[in-house]
Amino acid sequence: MRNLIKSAKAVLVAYFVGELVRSKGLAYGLLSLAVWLSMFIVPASLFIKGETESSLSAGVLIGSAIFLAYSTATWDWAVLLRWLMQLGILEYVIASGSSIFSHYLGTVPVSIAWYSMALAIAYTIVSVFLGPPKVVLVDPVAFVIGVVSLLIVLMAYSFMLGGTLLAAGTAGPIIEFIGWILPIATGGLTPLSIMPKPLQVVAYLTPFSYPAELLRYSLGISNPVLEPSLVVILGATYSTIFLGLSSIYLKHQVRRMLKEGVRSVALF
Amino acid sequence: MLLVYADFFRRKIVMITYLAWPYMTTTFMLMIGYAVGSPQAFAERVGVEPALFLIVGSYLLFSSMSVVDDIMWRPIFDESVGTLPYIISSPAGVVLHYLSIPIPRFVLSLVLGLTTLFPVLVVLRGLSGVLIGLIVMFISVVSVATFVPLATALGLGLYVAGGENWRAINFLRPLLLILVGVYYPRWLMSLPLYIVSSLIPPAHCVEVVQRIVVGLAEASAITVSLVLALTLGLAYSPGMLRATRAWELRKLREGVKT
Repeated sequence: MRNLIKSAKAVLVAYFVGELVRSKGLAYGLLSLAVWLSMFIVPASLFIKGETESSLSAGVLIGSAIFLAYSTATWDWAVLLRWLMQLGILEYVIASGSSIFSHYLGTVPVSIAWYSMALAIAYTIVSVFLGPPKVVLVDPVAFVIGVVSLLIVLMAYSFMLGGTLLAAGTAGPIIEFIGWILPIATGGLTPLSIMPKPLQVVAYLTPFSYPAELLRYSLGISNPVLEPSLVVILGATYSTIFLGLSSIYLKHQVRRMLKEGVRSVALF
Repeated sequence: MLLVYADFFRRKIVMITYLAWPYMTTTFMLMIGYAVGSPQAFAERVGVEPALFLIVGSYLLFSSMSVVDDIMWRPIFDESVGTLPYIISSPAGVVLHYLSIPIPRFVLSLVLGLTTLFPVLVVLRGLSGVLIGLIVMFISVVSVATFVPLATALGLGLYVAGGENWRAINFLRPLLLILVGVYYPRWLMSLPLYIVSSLIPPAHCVEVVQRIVVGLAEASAITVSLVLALTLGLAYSPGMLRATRAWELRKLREGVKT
């Protein structure tokens, strides 16, 4: 455990200095995010007649927040493994005796800092173009469970994606595509209640929909299709099982890689 | 050309995602739009139903990106895979190399038009949708062609100024596309933004396409806009040549990073 924390700390320092400070990744990343968000949020203002209700802007803000959380899990955590493979240093990481999970742990603080700033940018863009969002904490317990289960689900998703990257080697377009389709199809972007019935069923079959529904419910934006208490129980259980299974999957892929060698990765 | 097509068809997932992206972004934007407002409000402000306007915008976005991305990212890709020294030392010359990059992508963008525009336009506009689709595809090729000099000048100019920084490109790309107005009609932009976007050649072509889709186009206005786009494209060509040569000289002077 001590070694894991030590490795995670080294990853954190290396990532923070190398990626965010030296290569100005933070500044460029936030600027780029602001522009991409504007590109998709500004046209939404064309759908509005007169004043927007602040709860609707809040809905867009929460949708953006969940979308950004998926992006962070995809590009900060899962793609980290792909990056290590691309640079040809994954072998050295494994040979050093350091756990692959130390890389996940080491990037989490940077991701949280980045996510907070990204959220502030999203808030500004939504406020300027759609109107100030009104977020009210209706149910604090559901909110905490929603945030925790979202973190668990995203960590599990990044393990699953990371394991797939180790197994398949190259998968850039798949990652990009999944990063978009998941929040759309599983109710991350808009409440399940306004989605067609078949999509609601599909969304509830995945662990991704429950945290999103809980967050929207706890912030007074929309009610879940199922009973809130049921969403809490199912969400907490499903996310924990998902994390357990994805950890096993990632470990299995690492063991497989030790037998078969590291795959080669294309740039795109 | 054959190498690009071979790569495209061999990597099936690249092919599938390339064709699916316009639908994905259109769905994404429709969901946000429907969550905050109504399609009627959109139709009143823009003049056409949102699904049609946004799918055309998505097609223009991805047909531009398939070409512009290839140009802007190519130096980084070639440096990473180790082919840059061969390209620079090739007798064909770097300028010719960069001018040839968009050609196969033009054809792919036409395929994208067939899979993106035609199904939606035929469903929403019937047989007249086929004609609109053909016009949109033709103008999109002109649009991308006029975009190449500016994209190359800016991309390689940035590389000369600050090294091969993909983060800067990642910021520049969407900024250009916002200014082009793929999802937000230029006639609704504020005056300062409209003036800035007028300096970008494809913005004029995109406006023509959107006016055709909305039914506001006049033959004279279309001609003026297309001539303006082509003139601007030509005006940026010396900048493209200068940036390409400066980048080549820099590589010859400093060497290729490994």
